Amino acid sequence: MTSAAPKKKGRALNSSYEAAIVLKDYWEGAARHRVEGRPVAWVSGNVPIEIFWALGIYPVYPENYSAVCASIQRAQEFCETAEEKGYSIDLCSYSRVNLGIVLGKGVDDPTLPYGGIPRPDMLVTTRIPCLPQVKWWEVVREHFDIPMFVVDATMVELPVSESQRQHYLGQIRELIPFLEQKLAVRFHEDTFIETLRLSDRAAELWLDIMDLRAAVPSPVGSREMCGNVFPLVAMLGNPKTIDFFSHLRDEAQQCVQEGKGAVENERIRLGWDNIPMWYNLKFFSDVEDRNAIFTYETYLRYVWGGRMDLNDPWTAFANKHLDVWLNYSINQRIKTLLSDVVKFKLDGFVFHQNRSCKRFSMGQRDLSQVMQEKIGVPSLFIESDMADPRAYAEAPTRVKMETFLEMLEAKKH
Amino acid sequence: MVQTEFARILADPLELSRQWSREGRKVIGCLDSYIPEEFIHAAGMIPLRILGSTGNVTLADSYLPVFAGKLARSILEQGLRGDLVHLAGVAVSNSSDAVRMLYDLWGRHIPQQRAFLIDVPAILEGETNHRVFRQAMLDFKDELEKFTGKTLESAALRRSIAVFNENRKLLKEMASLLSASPPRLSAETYLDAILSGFVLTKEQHNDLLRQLLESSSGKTSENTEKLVPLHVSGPILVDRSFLPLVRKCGATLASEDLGTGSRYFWDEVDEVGDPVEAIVERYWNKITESYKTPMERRWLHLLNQIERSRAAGVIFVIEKYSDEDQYDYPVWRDRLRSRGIPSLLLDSELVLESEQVRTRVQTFVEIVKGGAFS
Ligand code: SF4
Repeated sequence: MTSAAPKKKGRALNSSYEAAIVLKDYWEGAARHRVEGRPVAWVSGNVPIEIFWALGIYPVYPENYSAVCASIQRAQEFCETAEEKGYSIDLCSYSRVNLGIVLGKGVDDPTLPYGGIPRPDMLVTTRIPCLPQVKWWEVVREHFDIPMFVVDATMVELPVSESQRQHYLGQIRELIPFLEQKLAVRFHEDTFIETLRLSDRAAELWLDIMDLRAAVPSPVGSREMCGNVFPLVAMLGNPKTIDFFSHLRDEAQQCVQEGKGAVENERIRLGWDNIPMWYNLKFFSDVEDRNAIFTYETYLRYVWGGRMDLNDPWTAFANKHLDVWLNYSINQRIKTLLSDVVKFKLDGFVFHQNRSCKRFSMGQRDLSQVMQEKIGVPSLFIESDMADPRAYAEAPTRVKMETFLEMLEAKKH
Repeated sequence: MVQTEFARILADPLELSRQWSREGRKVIGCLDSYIPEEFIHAAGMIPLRILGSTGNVTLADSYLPVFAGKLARSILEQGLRGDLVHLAGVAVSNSSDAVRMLYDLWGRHIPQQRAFLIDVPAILEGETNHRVFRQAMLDFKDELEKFTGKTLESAALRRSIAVFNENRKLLKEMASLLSASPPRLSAETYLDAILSGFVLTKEQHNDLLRQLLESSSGKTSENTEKLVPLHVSGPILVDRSFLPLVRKCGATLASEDLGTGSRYFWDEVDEVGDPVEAIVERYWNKITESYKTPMERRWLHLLNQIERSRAAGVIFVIEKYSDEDQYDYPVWRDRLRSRGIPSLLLDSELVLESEQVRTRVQTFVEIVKGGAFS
């Protein structure tokens, strides 16, 4: 993009450099756990993560692994292997990357990032974000022939209803003995509650950071925050997450106090809906050359890690896990987004029409229309995919984005 | 002839329902196989299965992306265009994520029409899910009672169960005529008979099926001796030009486990005991659709059908963007392969692209005939 301001180099927050270390540590920890013969479960987004840390079962996230592959430009080869095996190019690319690895050279292939994905003893997934996730796990089960548990949930309009909570907790009461029995572990409520406390502390810090980004100028943009989110997905209940997020929060707070923005001369504030394009996080920072910043994402705010009122831990635990953007009805998404767009003082919004994540992408047209009608905030749609770079058309997307920014800039005058 | 009657009905599948509503009867459009149609019937209304349309999608483009799939998009299109305006309501269940979204979109863009949500789990295992499943069914029953202002009486429910069970028995009889050797029924007639059932009252359908069975018993369907018997699997098959094409390629449908076929009608409701509970159990235990877990019931049904028909191969007709079926397909294909049964995958968007399909089916039939499969 044409340069109208000096380019900001490096990370806005120095603590963001810790993200790579935390991630590496997580995957090495998983490998160690495997080698030491301790139980490993493959899990997916929005599983009741705290249960695993409390039980000493290492929760391995193939979704994150797929995102990592995408970010180092290795997703396409695995997608292609999955497609050769008969998995349609229209399926979720996280799953295609994973199935390409599992059904291709295998999870122990030493050329894989972090030396491979530790083999699972157990599979746990949930329908909270989507149904394809469950189907993907069925394929993985067919391959490994190991026990599997699926936590179901119906879509919610907030507040979560008592019957939805009971549905969730009823299944958790089935899941715990299932894990105990299959993996020879023991559930202790005290440890669990302590894990919830750690999880909630991490969520609190994360949400503080999110809120600090409502400041003008924004202390940190989407590119950096997408790189920081992983512990919120997979390491809730792990003390390392708290350390990392504390550093981030303190730094962001200081920036806000000093009025220091991630972009000098911030003029345009943008929001983002859907999973980022992991192979192209640069998309976010490119706009900074135009004095624009992405400072809000539904994906970072409502997909992982809500707060819990630990005076009533089980209720809070259920509420938190059901209160997830992907599990919101369209009306709920609209309600939430409208107030956030105002709170974050956004000038424009970008909807990533992500062909992989259908559940995220359906309903976006309604969001965009309501946003325009009710609060006059325009939006742009870009069509792409979170992990499969073949779905991204660089030139037309850049032109679209340029035009959008010009339009927003003109609107400011 | 009954066959002509089926063809006439399918030429304009919504016409009969328009007529019913002109006569003051209430019709409820059902968007999935987990809608307990017996409740609707016992409430004095007519359940009508909505299976989308093959026309262009334009209005729904404003709300659903292409990758939501043709079925969901075309149903929304029908709703927005006013093609379903004569229906008293639509009933949506948690099937694919796209169909589930239709409930939200209906409420937002077609608010004048009542939309029911039968919020059943996708996971049909475990005590908790069973309890929630049952409750969702009972909630739907309550909603229907409020809607009609009448309580659903046991006697009415029993009558409805009897009508639906008879329908299921007749369809199963038809399935056995189809897979008999030699077949007593043409595949084309079989498909037409099934599809007609979605847009007729069950009573009317039963009458026509009885006539068909009577006229078919003892008879052999013409020209089938040299046709290769095949099994067809998939969520939905509404393209009536597909089976004639298969025939031209030297094969015929001998059995199926379609979502709009035997998976819809195979399981009956227990006629003993409490009718409400029996209906709930029927849907809980029915052969699972691809958007439900566990998958094994569906697999066993597929195998049983193949065994019954002695089909020499399987054609999977899978809707583009139907994630659930697309994940299943390679698993099913490999399991079949390990049993020495060849299979072919065809993409559909409610219609099958004929030229490409012809070539692929022809090649497949040659492989099956030549036994060159390994
Ligand atoms: S479709 Fe979306 S929610 Fe589902 S597994 Fe893929 S990325 Fe996650």
